[in-house]
Amino acid sequence: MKKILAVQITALILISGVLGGMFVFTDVYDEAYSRIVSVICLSCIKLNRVYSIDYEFETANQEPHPEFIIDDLEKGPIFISFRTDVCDYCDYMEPLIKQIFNLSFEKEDVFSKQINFSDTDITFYHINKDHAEAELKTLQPYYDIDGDEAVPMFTIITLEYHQGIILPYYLTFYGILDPNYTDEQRIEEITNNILNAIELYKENRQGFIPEDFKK
Amino acid sequence: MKFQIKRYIAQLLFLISANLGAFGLKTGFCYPFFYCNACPASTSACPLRAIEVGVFNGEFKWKLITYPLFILGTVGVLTGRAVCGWACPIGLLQRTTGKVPIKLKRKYPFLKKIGQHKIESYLRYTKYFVLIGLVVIIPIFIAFMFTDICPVGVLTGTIPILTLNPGLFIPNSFFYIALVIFILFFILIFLVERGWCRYFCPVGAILAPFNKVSFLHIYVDKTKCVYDYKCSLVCPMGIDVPNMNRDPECILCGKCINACVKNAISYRRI
Repeated sequence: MKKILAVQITALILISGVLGGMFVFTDVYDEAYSRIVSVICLSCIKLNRVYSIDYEFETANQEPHPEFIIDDLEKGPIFISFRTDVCDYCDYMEPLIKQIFNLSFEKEDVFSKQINFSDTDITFYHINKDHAEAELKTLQPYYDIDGDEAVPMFTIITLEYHQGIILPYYLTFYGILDPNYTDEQRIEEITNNILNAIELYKENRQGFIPEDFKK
Repeated sequence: MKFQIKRYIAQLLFLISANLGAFGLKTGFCYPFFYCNACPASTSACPLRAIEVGVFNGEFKWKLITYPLFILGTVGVLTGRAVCGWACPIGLLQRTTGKVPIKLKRKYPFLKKIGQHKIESYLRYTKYFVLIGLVVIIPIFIAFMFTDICPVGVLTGTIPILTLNPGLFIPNSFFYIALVIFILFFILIFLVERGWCRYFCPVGAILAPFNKVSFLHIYVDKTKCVYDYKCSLVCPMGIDVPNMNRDPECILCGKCINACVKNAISYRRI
C-alpha cells in the first residue's frame, strides 16, 4: 500500500508539476490555440473547399485595410500567401507559388518583397503564422472571407472602381483550388488571377488616393 | 440506479463543456478525452491532433507532443480511465447504443461470440498499434493519417460542417475512406458494447496504463466475492471483474458496483 501510494504521489507531482511548468514558462497554450483550435482543420473534416473566386471591396472583418497594405498598394498589386508550419496543403502549394514568382524561400520565412511580374511591381508577402510578428499575424482576418483562418490562404489585392471612387479590391482563395485541377492548371489559374489584378490595377491606379484610406 | 444517473449527468455536462465553442469559448487546452477540434463548437484541441502536429514530418515539437500527454497523465494519475466512463462524449454515444448489442445477442445467439471470443483479449491491443502507428509513426514519415480517417472527426466535424455550410465544401481524397470507417465504427458500437473504447480508441490507449497507478480505482474484496459473475455480465468493457486488479481496460463506470449483491466491489481513492 505504501509503495503504490509513493508511486502515485511521485507520478502526480512529476506529471502535474511539468504540466504546470509548461503553462507558466512556455507558450504551449497559445501554440495549441493558434495551431489547432483556432484554425479549421480540413484534413480532420476530410473536406476541401469548393473553389470559387469572388472579388470583394469590404474587408472580411469590416476594418479598414492596414496602412502598410495601403502603402504597398501605391506601388502595385499585392500577393499574400498565408501558411503555418504544419500544413499539408501549404507544402503542396508552396512549390507552385515559388515557380509562379520565381522565388526561393523556406517555409518558416516571413517576409515581404517587391518583385517584378509581367513588367509590373508586385509586393509579395509570405506569412508563416507560426513565426510572424503581431502585425502580420493579425493580417489574415482582414482578407479571410470564410472567417476560419484556414491555411493555405492566398490573397491578391488590387484596385477597382466602386460608386465613384477607387477602392482596394481583393480576392482570396484557399487550399489547392479545384481538387480536380492538375498542377499546371493551378499555376495557370493563379497566374491568370495575378494578371487580371495587374490589369485592374493599371486601369485604376490614377484614381487611387492612398491618403483617403489612412487614418 | 441513482449512481448511474449521476454518471449520465456528468457525461452530459462534459458534452456541453466540450462544445462551448458554439458560444465563442475557444481555449488552448487539450481535451482529456476523445473529441474533435474540427467540430464547429469545440472548445479545445484533440490530444491526438496535437501529437500528430508535434511529430509531423519528423519535426519534433516537444511542447506539442508532451502537452496532451501531461494533461492526460495528470487526469490519468488522479482518476485512471474514469474520464472514458464519466466524461468522454464518445463514451456517452456508446453508452446510448450499448443496449443494442445486448438485445441483439439475446435475439441472435450467433452474435454472442462477438466481443467474447478468445482472440478478443488480443484485439484490445489494436488501440496501441493505432496510437503508435497511425498517430505517431505515419505522421513522422509520411503524412497525417489518424485524423484524416478518424470516424469521430466525421461525426463531430464533417457532418456538422457540411450541414452548417451547404455547398462550401467537397470531399477530399480521404473522405470516402473515412466514411467507410465511420460506418464500420457505427456497426461496431451496435455489435459490441463500447467497441470503440475496447479496440481502437488511441486516447484510451494513453490512459489505460494509468489505471495501474491511479488514485481512484475499482476494488474487489475477494473475501466477500461469491464469483457469480453478475458484475462481469454488466461490465461494458467485458472485463473479468472478480479477478481483476486495476485492469487497464476498466473505465470506472461503476456498473459492477451496482450489480454486486454482496457489496464486494467499491471505488477506492488510494
